[in-house]
Amino acid sequence: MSAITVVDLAKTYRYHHKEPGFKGSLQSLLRREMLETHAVDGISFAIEAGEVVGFLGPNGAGKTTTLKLLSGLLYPSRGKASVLGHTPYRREAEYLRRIALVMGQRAMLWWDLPAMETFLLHKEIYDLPPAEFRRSVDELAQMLEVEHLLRVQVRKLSLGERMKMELLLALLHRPQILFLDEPTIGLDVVSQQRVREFLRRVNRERGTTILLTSHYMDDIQELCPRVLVIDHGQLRFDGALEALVKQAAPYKRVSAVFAQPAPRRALEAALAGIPIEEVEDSLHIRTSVPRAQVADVAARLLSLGAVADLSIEEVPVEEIVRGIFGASQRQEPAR
Amino acid sequence: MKLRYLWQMTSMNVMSTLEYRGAFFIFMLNTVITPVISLLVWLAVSEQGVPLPYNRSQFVTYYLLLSVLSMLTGTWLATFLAEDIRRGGLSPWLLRPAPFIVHYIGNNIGEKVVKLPLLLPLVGLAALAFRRDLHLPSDPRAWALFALSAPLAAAIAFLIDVIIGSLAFWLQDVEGLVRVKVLVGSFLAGRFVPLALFPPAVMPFLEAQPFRYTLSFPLELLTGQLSAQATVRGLLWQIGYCVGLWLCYRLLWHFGLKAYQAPGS
Amino acid sequence: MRHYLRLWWRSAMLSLMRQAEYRVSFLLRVLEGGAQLALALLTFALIYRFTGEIGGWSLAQVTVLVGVYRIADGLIGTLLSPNLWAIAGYIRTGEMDGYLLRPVSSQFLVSLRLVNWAEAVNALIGLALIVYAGPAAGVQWSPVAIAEAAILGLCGIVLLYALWFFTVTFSFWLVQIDNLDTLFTSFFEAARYPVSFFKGGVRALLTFAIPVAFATTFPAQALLGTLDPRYLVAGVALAAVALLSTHLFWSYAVRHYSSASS
Repeated sequence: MSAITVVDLAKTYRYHHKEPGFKGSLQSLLRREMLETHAVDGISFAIEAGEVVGFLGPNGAGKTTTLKLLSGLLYPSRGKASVLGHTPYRREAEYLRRIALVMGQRAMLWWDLPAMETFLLHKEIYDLPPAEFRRSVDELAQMLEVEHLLRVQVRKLSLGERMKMELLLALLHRPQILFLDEPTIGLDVVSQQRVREFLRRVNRERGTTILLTSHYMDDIQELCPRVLVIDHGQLRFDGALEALVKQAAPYKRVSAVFAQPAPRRALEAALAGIPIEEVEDSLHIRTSVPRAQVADVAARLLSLGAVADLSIEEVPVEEIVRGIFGASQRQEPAR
Repeated sequence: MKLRYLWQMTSMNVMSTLEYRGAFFIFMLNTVITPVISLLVWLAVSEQGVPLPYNRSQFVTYYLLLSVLSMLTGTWLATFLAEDIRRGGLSPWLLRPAPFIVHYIGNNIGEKVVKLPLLLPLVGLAALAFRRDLHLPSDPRAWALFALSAPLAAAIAFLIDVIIGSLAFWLQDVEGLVRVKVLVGSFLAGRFVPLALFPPAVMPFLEAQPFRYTLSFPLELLTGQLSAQATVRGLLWQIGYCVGLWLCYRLLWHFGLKAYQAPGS
Repeated sequence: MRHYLRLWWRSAMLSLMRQAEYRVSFLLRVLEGGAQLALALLTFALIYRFTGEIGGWSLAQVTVLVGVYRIADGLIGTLLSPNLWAIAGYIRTGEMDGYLLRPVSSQFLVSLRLVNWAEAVNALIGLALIVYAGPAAGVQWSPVAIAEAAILGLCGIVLLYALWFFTVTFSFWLVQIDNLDTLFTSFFEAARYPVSFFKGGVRALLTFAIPVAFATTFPAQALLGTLDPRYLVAGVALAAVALLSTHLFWSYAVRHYSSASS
């Protein structure tokens, strides 16, 4: 049985539009026009224990709502979700002991005290035996390289260090599933790296199932063998990232640098109808070539002679995502 | 020009207060409940049949009028002003052509404009409950004096708050002072026990201290307990405090602005 | 359950540690409590200038009541106030989510997680006042009297908590009227006075509807030996029912929050 099974899960919000002013209040009292948003609109998937899965999608697509449905914060409007054999929204104590939710924007640590104090508090909340608690703290602190910071006031820590502490807090009780909402938001590049390494290690050594939503393609790329693309509440793609790239971007970026400018006519012939995307000072060209034709085009370009450099690259995933969703990716917290 | 600015400020505050009229209604409920409790206690005392400086009717009139007047002379700006000074919220205002204080006056008046129609029905209800003992003064002169004294009382209360808030130019934490002022000031203004009921020995002090002129004095004028001499004396004290406190405020700001470091972003 | 006790104690310790960081604030709160006490006593001194007894209470006896009020106010301020004032904020900022996903009662977490130790000091000062005024008032320090006073005081605090918490739970629905609980602060003012100062409808209101009487008058009467014992039973019964009601309403409110929030 899968760790997480989701069948036709949906979450619809009903709201009414209120005209401003007194007249509006009177109107909304007498006759309300109910509007609906389908934050999540019938998604189905299954996740096995030990997987690391990324949820990708634009703002307001339903990623965070899905996470909230799976963790048990929200009631579904339709469909079923089964996590570790439990119905999440029942929020049974047994279930809550086996999961953890970390929201990148919200801190659970007490600000004025050393992180260790909040850990001790959670020890009581989760009723952890002292020996096990100690072991958990030592192990995780070592993995995160924060042993020396345990007794430092949280407000004196850097953003990166604080995030590490939040992760430590979440993993103290050894949850089987870790839900992460934008875990690396606002962090510097080095901290982001560290957090990803840590999550990979936790997954490897403890077999923790990890579900995360992120705006940062690097998070998805480096951590998630499997990607679920959610847009307008619907599941658009479920599979490996490479497969997504192939499906959404069935071409590769080919760049060539010439020692001497190549005649226009010859170039166009070599590319056989594929438009040149960028030309810089007639020595650098760049173009997107369908995968099937890459080898041929590359060969023909080389045969033009005087090629100083030729590179074949995957289209940056950012661009793919932008292409899929048709909107630019901004560094904004998900809802 | 400043008057137009004040008008604009006030009407903006009226609009934003209207948004929160639910919450303000609750505040008005609180404004009525506290004096009513004190009133009930004094009525219980008068049940004992002992001679008191006030009769039942005077107690009822005093406390019901108190609830209205305390709202009309209310101030809450001290902590906000202190924060503006400490956090640099003052800076943009220093570059505008109207004095900073206009912002606070507008807020004060604006909120009161909304509070009054919320408060009056509640006081009306209380008046209904105590109608047997309620005797509103009929002497138009008393009302005229009240109409003169009440705005002065509001001004004095306002200025006291401004002065305390302005100490933020030099002090790190003004919060404690504000709380002391609220506690002691309320007591000395006759909010819980009418000043007339204090022991005669402390009367001279009570009559001179500024808090009397933020609440008790207008009420004393209205309920007609003061002799012509006492009335004139009191009015002079009140005007004197107005002027004196205003000078104090100007002085503080003259030096304060020099010390101001325009902090923050 | 011992688990909850241990959890509460750890929470209380965290609060104490945090307050130790802000010593000036702590001191100010204690001083303010002292000033409030002094003014309360002064008010009664002024009132009792005119008569030796009001509603059957002498000045000494009413001083005991002031002490009981100080303890009740202190305990509410220590255990409940820091939490109940913050709940509307948790809902607004989404912090409530964190409390709903723990394997312990969310009502317990949001009601008791913060402790204000400065108010505990104020409560102790109240106790000192009772000890001081005791002899003149005729306080009997018998175990029975103390037990009765403690039970009634506890019932009173539980009843006030229930009423306050009930109102706060409405925050899940109401957004703009987030200060309903300030009404409690106002009504609690009446707890400074023996409930016998008030008549008829008001007295009934203050005994059963907004049960401040249980928090101050009845415990004081227990110490003074003038308590009607039926109130002991009534208090415990009412407190139990009230507490259960809050739990039911809270569960309902949380369910609503889970279906309606985004």
